[in-house]
Amino acid sequence: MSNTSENPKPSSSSAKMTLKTSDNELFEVEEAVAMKFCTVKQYFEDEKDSDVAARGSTTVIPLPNVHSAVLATLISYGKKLPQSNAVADNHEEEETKKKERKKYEQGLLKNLMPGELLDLISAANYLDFKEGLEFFNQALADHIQNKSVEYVRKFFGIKNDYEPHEEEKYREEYAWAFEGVDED
Amino acid sequence: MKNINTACYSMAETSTSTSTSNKNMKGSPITNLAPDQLFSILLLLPIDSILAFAMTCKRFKALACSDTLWESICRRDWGPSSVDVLKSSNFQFQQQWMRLYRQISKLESVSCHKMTYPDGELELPKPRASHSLNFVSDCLVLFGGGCEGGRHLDDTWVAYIGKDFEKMLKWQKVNSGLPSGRFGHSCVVIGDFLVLFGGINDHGNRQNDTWLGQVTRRETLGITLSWTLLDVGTIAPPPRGAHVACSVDNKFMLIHGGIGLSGLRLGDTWVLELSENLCFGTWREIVTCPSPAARSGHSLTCIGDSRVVLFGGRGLGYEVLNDVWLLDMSEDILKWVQIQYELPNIPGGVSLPRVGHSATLILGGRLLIYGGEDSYRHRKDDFWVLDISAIPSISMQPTTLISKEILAKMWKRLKASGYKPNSRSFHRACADHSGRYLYVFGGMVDGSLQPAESSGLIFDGELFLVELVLQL
Repeated sequence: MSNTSENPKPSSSSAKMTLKTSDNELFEVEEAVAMKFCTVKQYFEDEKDSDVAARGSTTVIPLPNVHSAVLATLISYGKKLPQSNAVADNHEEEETKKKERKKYEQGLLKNLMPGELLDLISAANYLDFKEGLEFFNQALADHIQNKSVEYVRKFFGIKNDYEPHEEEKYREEYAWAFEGVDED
Repeated sequence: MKNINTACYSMAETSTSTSTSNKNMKGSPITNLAPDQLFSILLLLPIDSILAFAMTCKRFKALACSDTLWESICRRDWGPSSVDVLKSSNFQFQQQWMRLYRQISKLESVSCHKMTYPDGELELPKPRASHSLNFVSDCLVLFGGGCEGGRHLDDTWVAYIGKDFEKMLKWQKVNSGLPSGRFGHSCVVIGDFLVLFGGINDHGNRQNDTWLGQVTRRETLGITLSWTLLDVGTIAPPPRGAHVACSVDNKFMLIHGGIGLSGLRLGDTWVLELSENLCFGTWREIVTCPSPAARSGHSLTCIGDSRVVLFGGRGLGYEVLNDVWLLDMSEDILKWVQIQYELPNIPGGVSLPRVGHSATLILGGRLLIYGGEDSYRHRKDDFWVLDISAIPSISMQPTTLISKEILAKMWKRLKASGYKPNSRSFHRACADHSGRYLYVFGGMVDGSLQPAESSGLIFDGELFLVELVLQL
C-alpha cells in the first residue's frame, strides 16, 4: 500500500498530477496549480472516492479539448498566481511578487497571436480556470476597446455580410454611443 | 496591454485549432465562443466598443444587441437596484433595455408637474426653506426648516407614495416638537432609517445632535414616524448648519462644511458609522490635503460605487463657487480629488456657480442640479446634468489632466417643459425608487411686484414633480 494516499491535504503540495492533452502530450503538474483548474479538481475529487486514488501521482487526467501549446501557457500562468496554501509574505515580498507577475503577464501577451488568445479563452472556460479566464478575457477586451469596426473585423477574421446601405443605417443608429469618443 | 502582435496575421490563420472547433475553416474561431462567453467579454467593454462589435456582421449584431446583454449593461452602469426597481414597476418600456439605455444617455429635457391635493380641508405644510425632504419606506418625509419671519419649524410631515409616482398626494402631520426646531440641518436615508444631523434654530444656536427617524405604516393607525436621539459617544463634529450630508453604501453618513459657531464657514469632512443594531454611532474626521475649501449651501451626493460628489456653495470670502470634488470611500487612503474644468468650455457655463441648489442622483448614475442662487443673488430655475461617470478611477493624482472630450460631456443643460415653477434657492429635492422622478418642495423665491417683506425673504410652499423625459 503506497503511503502517499494517507497524506493530509496541505502537505501534499509536492504531489504531482498528470494531464493528457488532445494531441496526446503528457504534462506533470503540481497539485496546487492543477487544482486551480476546477474541471480537473472535480475529476480528481471524483476519482478519490474510488480505489483508483491509491495510485496517487500516477493518475492521468485526460483533457481532450485542450491542445498542448494552450495547456502549457495556462499552466505557466497558473504557476505565477499567488498560491492559496503559501505562507503569508511580508509586504515587501508581496510587492516584488506583484511586480514580477506584471512583467510576466506583459511578456505573455506581447507574443500572443489573436487566434491563440481565443484558444486560451476557450480552454480556460472548459477547464473552469477562473483567474485565467478573467485575465485572458480582459486581455481580449483591452485589445478591441475603442477600436474601429474594420479593425475588429480584421482582428477576428469576421466577414462583413452587410450591404453598404445597411451598414450606413447602423452607423447612424448607433452614433449616440460614439459621441465624445476620439477618432481612431 | 495592447501588445498583441497582429501586424501580419489574422485570426483564421494562426489558430492552433482545438479539438471540437475548427474543422471547417469557413468560420473564424470567434464564432465558436459560446454566447455567454462573448457576453462576459463584451461586459468588459465601453458602450461604443460593444456597438462597434455589433457592426462587424449580422450574427454579432444579434448577439451584441440582445436584450439579455443590455439588461446586464444597465445593471453594470446604473447599479442593480435601479434595474430591479424598473423591472418590478409598471413602467411600460417593453423590456427594451438597449433603447432605455440610449434614452437615458441622451437625456435632453425634463418635464415638470404641479402636484394636486385631494379635495377637502387638508392641512398643508407651511411654506419654508432649508428643511429636509427624503424618500424612505415608500414615503416622502418633510422636517423642519425656516419660515416667514426667520422662525424655525419643528414639524414632521409624511406622504405615502408607494411604488409608482403620484401626482396627487396626501400630507399628514405626524410629529412636532422632536427633534427641536431647526433649519439648515441635513437628513439622509440609511436603509429604512432617516439620519438627521445639526442645523440652526431661530436663536442662532447651532446643533450637532444626531437623530434617527423610522417610518411605520399600520393598517388601522396609518403612518407614524418616531424620532430617537442617537448615542454617539464623546466625539462629534462641531455644531453647524447649512452643511451637506449624504449616505454612502447604506452604511455611512458623510458630512462636509457648513456654518459653525460664531458664523465661520467650515471645511471639515466627517464620517458617521452606525452600529449593526443602529443603537450607537461613531464619528470620525477625515483629514486630507488637498480638500474642498470651507463653504456652506453646497451639495454632496453619492453617485454609487462608494463615490461622492461635492459641488458649489458659498466660500469663506462670500464668493459663490462652482468647483466639483470627488471622494471614493472604497479606497484604503481616502482623499478628495478636484475635477478641474473650465467654465468657458461649457455652453452656458457662466451660470454654473451656485449656492442653495439641489443635486439629486437620477437614473443612469448622474446628478440633476436644480435652482439655487448665483453670484449676483439671482435665483435660478435651470436644470443641469452633471456626469462624472466618464471620469476614470480616482486613483489618479489630483493634477492629472483629463481629456477635453470627457470634460465636455461633464455638464449638460436640460430643457424644461410643462409647468414652470418659480426660480428658487434652498429648496429640497429627492428622487423616488426609480430615479426617473424628483419631488421638489419649498425654498426661497423672488418677490412679486408687491412690496417685499421686511426681511426680504419669500418662502414657497409648493410641491412639484420633475420627470425625466424619455422618448420611448
